Amino acid sequence: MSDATAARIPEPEHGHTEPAPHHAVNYLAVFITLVILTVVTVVAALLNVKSELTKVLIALAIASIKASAVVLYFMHLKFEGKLIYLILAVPVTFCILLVFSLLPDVTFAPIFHDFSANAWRFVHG
Amino acid sequence: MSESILDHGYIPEEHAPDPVISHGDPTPPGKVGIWLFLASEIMFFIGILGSYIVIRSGWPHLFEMQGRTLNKLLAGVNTLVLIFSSLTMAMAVDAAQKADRSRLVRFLSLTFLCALTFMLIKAYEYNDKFHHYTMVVREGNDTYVYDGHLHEHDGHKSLTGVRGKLHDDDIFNINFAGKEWIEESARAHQEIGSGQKLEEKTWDIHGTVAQEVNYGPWKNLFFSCYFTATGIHGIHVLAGMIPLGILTIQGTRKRIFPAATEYVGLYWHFVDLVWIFLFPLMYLI
Repeated sequence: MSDATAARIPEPEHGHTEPAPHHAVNYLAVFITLVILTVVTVVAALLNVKSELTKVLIALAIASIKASAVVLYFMHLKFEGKLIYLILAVPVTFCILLVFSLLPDVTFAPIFHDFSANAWRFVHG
Repeated sequence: MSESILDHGYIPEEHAPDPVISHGDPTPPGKVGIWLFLASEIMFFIGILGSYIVIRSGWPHLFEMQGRTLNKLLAGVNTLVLIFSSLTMAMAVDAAQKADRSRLVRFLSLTFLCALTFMLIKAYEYNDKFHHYTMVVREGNDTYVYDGHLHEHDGHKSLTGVRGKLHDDDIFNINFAGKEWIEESARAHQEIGSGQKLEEKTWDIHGTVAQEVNYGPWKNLFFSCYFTATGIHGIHVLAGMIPLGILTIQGTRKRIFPAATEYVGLYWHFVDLVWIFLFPLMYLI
């Protein structure tokens, strides 16, 4: 028993378990893509873009591409069934809803604009 | 003799009773479980990252200015370390499924070492921030603002950084002030030219310290967000190191757990994924 249980290699004698499917993913290529995209993120941040919103959107867009690469290839989502997609779709939808429903609370409140325009910085006179 | 729960402490997935779900969907229940866990983790992290994004939208200039005090180089190195650990983890899962034990142990230990490197760099960054002070010091009739790294030996304080005079007409708040504030004040009072910067040097602090605050979570909203988000991410890295260590040790004891390795891998990639969003949001923009 000890040797048989030691190496947990899927054995055919127990019947109906299908062997874990092997999807040939070139992990090294995914890794290199991620490194290149990291460099792109840093370069984009150093570009001196004036608008804060543009900067955030560029950073989030590149981060989303990187995240997709990780989820699709490293986490094998590309090869999963509908169930996993469904499990993932729910929180991702709520994430976006949550942030966008709360943003107006802060961005449309005039008190915050006064605050951010003056209190944080040095004002002379 | 068939294997029982006593052999493993749990029912191995391949011997577990056929779950109802598998009649329609071939996904093993363990995988459904870990993805459900990751789904709840997504909601957990969006609570933290989402409040950071929302708060930042209210104080964009403050956050931009404070964000510049973070060490971009170290964070960039940490990003590469985590991405590399994701690669080694994916290779480890592949090795486990092919029952290649020596490759499994090699890649699992590499992943563990990457996690350790990440945490050490993070610890250095945190330590650096906790020694970074803003101080208001009265020296005779003058009051000075210092910003830099504080050293203390034999009760004697010295600070490496910049110093500027606090004028009567300055609007000053120690929680917002830093090196840039000191330079802006000095420029406005013609103490330095418009393009000039204050020189960084080591100052002995002899006067009375009227106010001081270090760059901990209490410094201001940016640092509260920074420490909460990176701290909770760090706890996730530490938590991931536990199963990584267990699987590595089991690997050296000639035990391979393909399903468990895959699930730990899924969690590990998720931790990497959170950092992929944290890095540009905290350090770069």
